[in-house]
Formats: sequence, structure tokens, C-alpha cells
Amino acid sequence: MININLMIKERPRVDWRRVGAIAGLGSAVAGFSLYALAWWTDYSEVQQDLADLAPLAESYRKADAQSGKLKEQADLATRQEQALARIGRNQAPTGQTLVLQSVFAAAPPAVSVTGVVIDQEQVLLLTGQAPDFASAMQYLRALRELPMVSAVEERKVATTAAGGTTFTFAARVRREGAP
Amino acid sequence: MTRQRLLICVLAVVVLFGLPVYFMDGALAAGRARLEAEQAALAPLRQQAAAVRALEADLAERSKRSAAVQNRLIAAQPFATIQAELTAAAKQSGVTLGSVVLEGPAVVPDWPGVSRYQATLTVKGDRNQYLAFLRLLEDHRLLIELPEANLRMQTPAAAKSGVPGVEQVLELGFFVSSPGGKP
Repeated sequence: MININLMIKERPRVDWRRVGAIAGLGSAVAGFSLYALAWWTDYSEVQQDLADLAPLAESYRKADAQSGKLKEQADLATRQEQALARIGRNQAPTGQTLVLQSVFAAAPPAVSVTGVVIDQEQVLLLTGQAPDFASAMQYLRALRELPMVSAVEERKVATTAAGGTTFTFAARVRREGAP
Repeated sequence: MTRQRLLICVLAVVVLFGLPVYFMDGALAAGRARLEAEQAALAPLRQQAAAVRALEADLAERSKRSAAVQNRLIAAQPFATIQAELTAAAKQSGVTLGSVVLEGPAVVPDWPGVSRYQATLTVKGDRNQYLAFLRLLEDHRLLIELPEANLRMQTPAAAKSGVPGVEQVLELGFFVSSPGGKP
């Protein structure tokens, strides 16, 4: 007699615990691998940054060591520029000829300018003679209209018994770039 | 028993992976902290270095301007050059030069390598000629220190030609580059 039960192959049973354990372990290994990769990237970056800082610090220190000498050079250059500005103050483009020509040209034919002084503060002192008081005032008005002078004022006006007038006017020369 | 084994397995996994993560995190945090500390320590130096670089650029720019000024200095034979330039300007403008006194050299404060020569001259001519002479000096290729204008003219009665005459003493400064000097 044949035992039929021996002929039927028993279907293997799924060991769900083992499956779960293997899946869990696999997930843990995969997760850890991803984490380790990300960590390694960050860590290498930080180490690279730290390594880069050393030569950077060295270059900063070298630059810092030069700063004293450079500041001295810059101070000297500034003093030279100031000296140059002082020396060349009356050369073009801020020359005085244009001012002188303008104040002479502004004078009416009867008015004679006999003295012009420009001081270091760019104040213009004009002295002259006019046949009468009205001509002197006409010159004053003409001076006020000149673009390169500002704040013209009378300093002294003297009229003789014969009507002749001597005058002294002061005006400030408008510097280039000033309003 | 089976449950205990499972628990042990889970614990083993946690320990096996958790401990490295803990130490790796620690190492990364320590590295970042060190980086931040070193960067903070370098910040003032970085600012200083940036200022130095700006100063270097500024000096390079100034050096170019200084080289341009160098061309406006007398290089050699100052007396002959000054005399020749003044004579040429006088001829061109029509003024007459009276006495011409040349003196030098004098040290220019704050300008090493450059010396100053002075020319004191008497200029005669009418007003227009004098202004033309002054204009030539103002526009001259050489660096000339011109005094502030102080002009005295003849009165109309004294001026026969109609244009007031001028006889003016001028003190002019000329600048000479010394060999090897840095302008």
C-alpha cells in the first residue's frame, strides 16, 4: 500500500519573519550607505575648506605685513598731490587770465581799471577810475553779471568835486565745480 | 525565545548602524565648528587684506598720474630751459622782458626727487600783451607755479596807445626732476 501523502510534495511555507528581517537589514544597509555617502561628501568639503584656509591666512598675513609700508606710500602720494595742487593752482584750467580778461572786458569804455589783485582765497579786488558815479555803478552791475565771479560788493567809491569817481570793488572768483 | 532573538537582532542593527552615525555626526560637527572658528578668526585679516588691495589699486592709479606729472618737469639744464621758455613766451606774446633772475635749486616739501627753481622777471608791455604772456604760462607744458595776480596798470592819461601799459614783476616757480628721484 502506497501512502499517498508521501507523494504529495508539501508547498514551502513563507517565513515572514525571515523576510522581514532580511528586508529590514537591507533597508538599514541601504539607508546607512546613503547617509555615509552624504556624510563623506560634507566631511570632505569641510576638510577641503579647512585646508584652503591655511594658504589664505598666509596671504592675508603677508598683505597685512605690507599695509604699513603701503600706508606710508599713500600718505606721501597724498602730500605730493596736495603740493602739486598748490603749485599748479593758477595753471589751466583754473587760470587767472580768463578772469582778468573778463573784468577788463566788462568795463564800459569810459571806465578804466587800474589795479587787479586776486588773493589766495580767490577774492578779486578791483580799483579804477570812472568819469562819473553812474559809470562806476554801471561797471559794478556788469561785474555782477559775469559768470565766473560771485558776490560782488563795493568797498570804496569816492567822487571828486569835478565829478570823477575812483572805485574799489571786491568779488569772489567762482571756483570750478562750485555752485 | 524567538521574540528575544528578534529583539536582539533589532538591537544589534541599531547598535551597528547607530553608533557609526553618532560618531560620524560628531566628527562632522566638530569639523564645521573648527571651520567657523577659523573663518571668524580670519575675518579681520580678510578685511585688512581687502583694504590693502584697495590701497594697492589706488597707489597704482596715483602712480599713473604721477608719471604724467613727470613729463611736466624739467629734466636737465634748468637755467637754460627756463630762460629759453620765458624768452619764447615773451616773443610770442609781445611783452619785453626786463631783468630775469634765476635761482635754485630749493627743496620742495613733500615731493622728494623734485627741486624748485625760481625766476624773478620784470615784464613790460600793454595790458593785452601781458595777459597773452600770462595765458602762455598758464597753458605751458611745464609745471609753473604762478603767483596770484597783482596787476597795476597805467592810468588812462598815461596810456598813450589807448591800451593801459603794465610793468610787472613776476616770481615764477619751475620744477626740475632730480636724477633717480621719484616724483
